Amino acid sequence: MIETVRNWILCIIGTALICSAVTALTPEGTSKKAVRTVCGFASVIAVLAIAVDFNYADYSSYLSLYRVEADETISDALQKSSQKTRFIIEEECEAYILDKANNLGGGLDTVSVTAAWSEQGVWYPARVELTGDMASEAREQLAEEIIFELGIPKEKQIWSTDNET
Amino acid sequence: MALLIAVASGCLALYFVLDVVGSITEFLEDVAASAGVSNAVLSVLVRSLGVAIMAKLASDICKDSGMATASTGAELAGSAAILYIALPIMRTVFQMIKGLI
Amino acid sequence: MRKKILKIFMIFAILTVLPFSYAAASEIGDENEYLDVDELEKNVPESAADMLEGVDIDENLNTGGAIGTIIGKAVGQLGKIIRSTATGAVGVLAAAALCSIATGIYSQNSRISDVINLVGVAIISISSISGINSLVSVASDTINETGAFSKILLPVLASASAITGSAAASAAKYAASVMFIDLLITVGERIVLPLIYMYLGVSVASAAFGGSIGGIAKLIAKTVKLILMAIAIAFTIYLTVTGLVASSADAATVKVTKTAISTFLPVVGSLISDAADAVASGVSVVKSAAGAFGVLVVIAVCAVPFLRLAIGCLMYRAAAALSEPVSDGRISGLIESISNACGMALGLAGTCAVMLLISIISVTKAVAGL
Repeated sequence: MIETVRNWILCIIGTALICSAVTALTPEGTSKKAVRTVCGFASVIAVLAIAVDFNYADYSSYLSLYRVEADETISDALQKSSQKTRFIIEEECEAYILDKANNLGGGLDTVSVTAAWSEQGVWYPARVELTGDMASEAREQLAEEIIFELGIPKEKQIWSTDNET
Repeated sequence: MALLIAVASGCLALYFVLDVVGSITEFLEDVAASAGVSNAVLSVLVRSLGVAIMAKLASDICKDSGMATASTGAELAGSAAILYIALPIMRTVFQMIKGLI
Repeated sequence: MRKKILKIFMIFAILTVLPFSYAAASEIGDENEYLDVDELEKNVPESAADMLEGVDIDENLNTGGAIGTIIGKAVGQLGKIIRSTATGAVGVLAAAALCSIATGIYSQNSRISDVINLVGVAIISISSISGINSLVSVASDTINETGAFSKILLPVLASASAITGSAAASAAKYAASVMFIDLLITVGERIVLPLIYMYLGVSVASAAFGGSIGGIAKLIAKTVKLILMAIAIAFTIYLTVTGLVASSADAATVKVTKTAISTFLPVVGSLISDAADAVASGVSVVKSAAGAFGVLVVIAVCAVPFLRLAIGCLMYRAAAALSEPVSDGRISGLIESISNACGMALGLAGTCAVMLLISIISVTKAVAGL
């Protein structure tokens, strides 16, 4: 595209140079006016040439290249920030569960929450692995709280004691 | 007699200047080739220049022999010839504009 | 020409009072890593590195103070710039004055006067060529440096804007900015700078031999002005339109996400929302700091070249004005053409800098729904 514009400008300047030389050589008189008119038409042809010869398909593919690059950069950044959001959600959920466990008498050693990507386009806590030696009543209560507060169903709560790990 | 001498010297001067004009035309062809100016446009411009020079010469010869009316006629004929030579260019411009609108 | 220089300086003055607030006093943390913020500091152009000594992208970035320091350092070089440019302009003025004295002595003989003028044109052309070369190459270096830095800065700003909720607008503005800056640099290097030299050549020929060649010089000058104006206007319109169209898409996306979060349980919903806000606020801090740093780099890159080009332009314009009453019109016209050539080079560099500044502000301020 740049080449096209460059050649067009050279064409205009070349035409102007030639017309200037021809006008300078033309002797004074009514013929000079006619020669000037012809030079004017030649200049119009040079100026309009780009509009006639311009390759619009090339130009739009030139535009779309930049758009593709921009989209790649943006999606890369969004992916990384999405991972960070997931990490924060998992951490917060783990802290929340540990806090609840302490309120119920403790005994929970480690918690590992795994987030999943929902259909609506957000991360949500989907699975939890709990390790510790909690009393069974406290364990039940904690499991209920996890279901009602975090929405992690019972079948996705994996309990294990210290002896099993 | 004076008129004949004037005509002869005019033609002689033209003859000697042909080489120079030839070099100028070559230069214009080089510029046109480098700048991408169409040969058709260049040939019209150079032919218009030639016609203008001949028309001026004819007009001045007529003035020298005291025929002012003929001189005007010669100039007018020269202008008309130039515009006739330029008809293809004018048609091209019209086609280009028609294509754009 | 004076109006153009005044416009450029007004833009810089406005930018110094723009609300580039201090970055919030929160950790920037590992956003720097996935946004490649460190690359910005590493890739500061050499010409700006000295001016930006001690300036880092962090929460303590004092934009106003840094701009003051940059301008102070640039003004500190003013003496050196004036001395070097004045040498060329004074030489040219002296040549014009000598020609006018010689022409005055041989005023009866027009042929000798013509020869003297021709010699004067030759002396002015030869003595000013190295000065013009250095000024034009300053413009070329400036646009290349700003272009190279924009390729590192704009992805960082666009990524940060996308993360804070303006993905479509950021992508559209980033693509538009990079495309037009690339176009300007390519057009500048391959068309405008050769046209400037062509303009000078034709001006010398017109001064030496007269005739209608002067019209071609005017045509070239108008072509350069038209090219720069066309690119700047097309860029502004394209950026505005694509930004507007894409922002409405972002607004719809943000709405959908908020609705999605509200479908979750209150505790989970608030966790998700807090996590997204934490990431967005961290990135927002980086975005503001990186944007402010980018503006500082552009100002630092352009400060000294702009001073050199503007002073060069003014010096030759003054020389043309001073020589006009005493020397032949063609000689003062030639000196004015040299000033115009400097003006064109300044216009090219200025257009590139302003386009990049507008891109930085546009991408940084990209907000969903606006």
